Amino acid sequence: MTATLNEALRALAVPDGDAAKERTKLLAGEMLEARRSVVAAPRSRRALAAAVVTAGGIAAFTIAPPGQAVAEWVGERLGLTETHYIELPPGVECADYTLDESGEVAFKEVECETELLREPVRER
Amino acid sequence: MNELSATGESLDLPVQVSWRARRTQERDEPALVRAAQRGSEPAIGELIERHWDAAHRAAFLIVRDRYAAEDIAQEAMLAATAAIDRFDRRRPFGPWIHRIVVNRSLDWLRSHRRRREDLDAGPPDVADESHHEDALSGDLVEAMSSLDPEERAVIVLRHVLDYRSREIARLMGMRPATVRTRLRRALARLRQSLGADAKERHESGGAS
Repeated sequence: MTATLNEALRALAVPDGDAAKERTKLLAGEMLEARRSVVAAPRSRRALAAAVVTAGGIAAFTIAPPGQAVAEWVGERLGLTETHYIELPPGVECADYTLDESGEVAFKEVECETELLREPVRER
Repeated sequence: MNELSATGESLDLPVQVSWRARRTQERDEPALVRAAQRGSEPAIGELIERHWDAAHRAAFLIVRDRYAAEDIAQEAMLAATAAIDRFDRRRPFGPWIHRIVVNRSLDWLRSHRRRREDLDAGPPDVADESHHEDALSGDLVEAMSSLDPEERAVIVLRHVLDYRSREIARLMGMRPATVRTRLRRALARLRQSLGADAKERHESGGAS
């Protein structure tokens, strides 16, 4: 049987990647789940903002309880291990964060949602 | 005998996989992407399910290392998940994944080559060779291995993932003429390698 090069390449045996695929689905699902619940916590509205950045970015801001390090607080609440600190430009109070394909953090200024600032943790 | 035909692209090999469903799957993808952007885990799972095999196969054919191919396919899917909010739903999801896969595969080969050069005085990478062997067999794979990484990438994009030269140019950041030249050169080398293999088998009495 004569097959095209396309078919021949597509028919070549490649290692089974099903286990990796299933792991990837789980990880991607966890990323989306984390993104829904992650908060970023500025020490004050105008000061250094700390954001827990999982690969999905940040959903909302809130304020850490006084006297507790932002990173510890966020990490405790969310059980996350990776914390990135991001300094917002002067005048920017609230921002959403995303990671681009290379893992670089990018932010976009958004309007502060005051109810989020009152709630210790809020999912959205 | 494995032989590229006068049209340049036929081989005498059994067909085990039908691969024509990709385009038809794209129609309901905007809805899946929208759901994933809203945080739907089943939706991102379905997108991964649909695109995994092609991404994994493409990575494997370029890097020829099963573990690296798994890592690259996984990283591509997770990078896409990470950036899903910014993805334009009017565009197809596949090319986005494939661009990441091809670029990461080429990056992996470059860094792997550098590592190999650093370890040049040491023994060969036996572990690598062993897991190449369990999946890589046949003349076509040997012929693919004779191509340089970017030639393999354009062959995979054209003949495995079905992109046209202009689309490949966009994905790889090359001029279309460069892509066409690389495709021609790669096909000529495949033809040459496969012809030499067949001749060798014939001379040793193993030709079919």
